[in-house]
Amino acid sequence: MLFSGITTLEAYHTLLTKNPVELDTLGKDMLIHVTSFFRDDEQLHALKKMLFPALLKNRKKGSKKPIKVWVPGCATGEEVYSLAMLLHEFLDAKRIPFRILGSDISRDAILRAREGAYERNIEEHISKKRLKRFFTTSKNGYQVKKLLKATCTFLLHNVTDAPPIAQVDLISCRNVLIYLGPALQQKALSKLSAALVPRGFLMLGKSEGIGNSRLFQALASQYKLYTNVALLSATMKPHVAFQKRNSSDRSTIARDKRSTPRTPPNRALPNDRQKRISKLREALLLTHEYSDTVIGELDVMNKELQSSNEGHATANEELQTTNEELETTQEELRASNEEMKTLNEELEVRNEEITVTRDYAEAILKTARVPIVILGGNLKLKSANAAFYTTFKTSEAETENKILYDLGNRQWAIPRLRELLEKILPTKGTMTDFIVEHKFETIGQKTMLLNATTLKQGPDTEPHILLSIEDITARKKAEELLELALEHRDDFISIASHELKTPVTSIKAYAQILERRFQKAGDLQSAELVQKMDVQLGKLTGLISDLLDVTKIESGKLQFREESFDFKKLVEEIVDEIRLTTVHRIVTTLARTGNVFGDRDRIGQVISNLLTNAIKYSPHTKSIVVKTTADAQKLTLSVQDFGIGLAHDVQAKIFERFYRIEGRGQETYPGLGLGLYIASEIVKRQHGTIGVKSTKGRGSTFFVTLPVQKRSAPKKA
Amino acid sequence: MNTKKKIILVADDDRGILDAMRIMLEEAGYEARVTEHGRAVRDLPSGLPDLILLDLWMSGMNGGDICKHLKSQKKTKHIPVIIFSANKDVEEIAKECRADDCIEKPFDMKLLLAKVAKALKKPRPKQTP
Repeated sequence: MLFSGITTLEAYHTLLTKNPVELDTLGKDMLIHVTSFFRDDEQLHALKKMLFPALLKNRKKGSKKPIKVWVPGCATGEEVYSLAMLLHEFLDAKRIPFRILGSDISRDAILRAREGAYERNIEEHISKKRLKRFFTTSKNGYQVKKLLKATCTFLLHNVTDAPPIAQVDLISCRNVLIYLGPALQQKALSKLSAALVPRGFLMLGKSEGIGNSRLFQALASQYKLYTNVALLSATMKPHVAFQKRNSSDRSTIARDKRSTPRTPPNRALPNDRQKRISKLREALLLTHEYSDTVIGELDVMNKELQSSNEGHATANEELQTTNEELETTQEELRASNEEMKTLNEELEVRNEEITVTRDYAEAILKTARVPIVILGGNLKLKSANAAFYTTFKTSEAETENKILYDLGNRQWAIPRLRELLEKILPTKGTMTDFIVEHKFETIGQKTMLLNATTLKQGPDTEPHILLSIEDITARKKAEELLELALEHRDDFISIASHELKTPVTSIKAYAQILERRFQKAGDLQSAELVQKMDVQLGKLTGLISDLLDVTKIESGKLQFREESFDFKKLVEEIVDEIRLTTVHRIVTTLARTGNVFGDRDRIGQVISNLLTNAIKYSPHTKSIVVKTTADAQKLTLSVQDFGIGLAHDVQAKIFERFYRIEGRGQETYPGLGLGLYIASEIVKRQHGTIGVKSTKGRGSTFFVTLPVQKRSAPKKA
Repeated sequence: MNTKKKIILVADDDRGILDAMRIMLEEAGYEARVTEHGRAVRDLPSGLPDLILLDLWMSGMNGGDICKHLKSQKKTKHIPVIIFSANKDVEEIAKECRADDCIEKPFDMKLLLAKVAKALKKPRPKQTP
C-alpha cells in the first residue's frame, strides 16, 4: 500500500479491485515463506534418531511400497529437499524407496520448489558433502540434482482441504498451524490425521502443538513429534472403534434403526433369531462403517491420483523441453552436415587445383633448359630433368638414388657447396645465386650458378631440395667483356672530349682575337661573322661536355660541389646570359626562393638547358615564360614555351638518354638527345624532381623542384 | 706604357693554344713567355714571372704537382698561378694544389683577361731583390 503511494484503506481497496498485479503482490506478502534448508536442526536430529527407525519398524518386512512423506506448507521446497536428503542418507543403503509430497497454497512457491534452483547462500545451511551429492552448481547458485528431484513431488493444496494423499507414513507440518485460528487448526489436524497410516507420525513446528486434539498422541513433545491416535485405534482395535463410533454417532444408528422394520423389542422371537438379527445388524453397521472408510480412502486415492497427474504434467513439460532440445540438436546437426558438404566441395576444388599445379610444376621442370635436380634426405638424387642429363653427359641410371657428392667421380664434392647445402639451406630454406667455378670431368672448366630451395614433404619426412644448376660460363665471359668495353668506352670518350676541347680552345681564342682586331679596325661586319663563329664554337663545346657528362653519370663519376647559393640570383644570371643570344622574349616572374644547398654550376646547367630547349623547340613563337615559386620545403622553377609541344606518349620518354624530338614534317632539331637526360640526372642527385606538362602543337612547361635550405643561419638580418 | 710590362708565363702541351694565348696576352699589354715543358715552369730557369697560366695536363708532368711545388717554395710561392683545363673539375683541383684561380677550357678571352688582371692586382708580400 505504502509502495503504491496510497494512504487510505478505501483507496487501496479500489486499487486492489482494479489491479490484479497489486492483488497478487499483496497475496505474496501475506503468505510468509520463511524457510531454509535443515531448519531447526535439533528437531530434525530427533526425527532422524527416533522417527526414522520407527518408520522402519512400522513397515512390513520385505514390503516394496515406498515410505510416504507429506510436507504441507512446503513453501519453496527447502524442507522437502532437506527431508529427502536425510531419507536418502538413511534409506538408500537399505534399498527402501520413499516419496515426499510437498504442498502449499502459493502457486509461485510450488513452481519455485519444482524448479529446485537456489541461491549460493544455501551453502550456509547445507554441508559440502551434501551439496556435492545432491546439487549441481549453476550460474547463480545451486540446482537440485535429478536424484533428489525424482523423489519429491509438489502440489498446490490447502492443508484445511481434504488430504491430497493417503497412507502417509510421516507428515512434517512445521510452522503452518501457527498461522491458523483454533477452529482451522483443528480442521487441519483432522485432515492430517486422515492422511496418515496407523501409527503414522506427525512433526509440528517448534512453537506449535496439537491443542486439545485427541487425534494425536505426543511421542516426544519437546521435539513436537506425535503419532496419530484415532486411526491407530480404528484399525488396531476395530471393535473399540466401532463401539466408539457407535456411541458417538448415534444419529446414524438411529437412522439405521429407522430404516429397519419396526419390531417390538419385547416380541418373543426365537432367541437364536434374535441373536442372528443382532449379528446381522452388527455386520451391517460394520459394513457401513467399512464402506465409509473405503469411500474416504477412495477420496484420498483420488487426490493422490490428482497429485500424480500433476507430477505427470511436470514430467510432460520436461519431456516437451527435452523434445525441443532434441529438435535444436537436430537442427544443429543439419547445419553441421551442410558445412561438411561445403568443406568437402572446397576440398575437391583444392584437390583439383593441386593436381593442376603439380602438372604445371612437372611441365616446367621438364621443359626448363636449366639443369634441375631434386635431392631427398642425405642429399640423394631423387630425380633430375632432361637438361641435367644432357649438360652433364650422364643418365638417369647413373645418377638416381646416388648422393650428389658421389656423382661423376665426386665432381660435386665442393666444400663450399657442402656447407651451403648442409648448414645454410636447412636454416634459411633458400640459397640464391651461389657461383661455383669448377673443372668438371665431363665438360671441363665451367662457371655454374646454383640456386636451391627446400621443399617441405610433410611433418615426418626430411625436406627435399630443389637445386638448379645454370651454366653461366658464356654469360660471365660476355659480362666481363662488356664491362671491359664500357670501361674502354668511358676512357675513350673522356680522352676524346679532352682532345677535342684543345683545338676548340685555340680556335675560340683565335676567333676572339680576330673579333677584337676587326672591332679595332672598325670592320664590324667581319667582327659579327667571327662572333657567330664563336657562338657555334660554344655549341660544339656544349656537345662535347654533354658526352663527357653522360659518361660520368653512367660510370657514377659525376661529382657535385655543394654550397649554399641564392637560387633567384642564379636564375636571373642565366636568363640574362641567354637573352644575349636569342631573339625570344623571356618573361620572368621570380619569387624570393631563398637559398639552395647544391652544386650551383650543375643546377645552372639544368636551368640553361631548359631555357635553350624552350627556345629551340618554339621556332615560330617568340616568348618564353620563366617562373619561380617557393614554400617552406621546396622551390619550383617552371619554363614555359608556346612551341611544338609534346604528344602524350612522348612526355615520359624525353628524359631518357639519346631521345630526340622530331619536328613537324621534315623539320629536325639538332642535338645528341642528352640534355634533358643529364638535367634529370642532376636534379635527381640534388634531391629534386623534374617533369613536363605539354600539349602537342601548343607548347610545353617544364618543372624543376628542389629542396629549400632551412634557414638555420639567416644571412640577412 | 710607363710601367714595365708584366711577365706572364703560359705553360700548355699544345702549341696551338700557346700561340693563341701569346697573341692574346701581348695584345692585352703583357709580356708573354710560353713553354710546352713542365720542367721549365717548375724550375723557372729564365727568372721569375709575375703570373703563371698553367695547364693541368702537361707532357711528362702534372700541372697540379707543379703548382704545389711552386707554392711550397719560398722563392716562388708569391707568384699567382691560374690553372686552366678542359677538365670540369678544374675548380676542385685548383683548390687542392693551392692555385690562385682557375678557368675551364675552352674559355672566353674576356674572362681570362679579367682573371689575369685580378690576380696581378692582389697584394703580395714584398720581395727582397
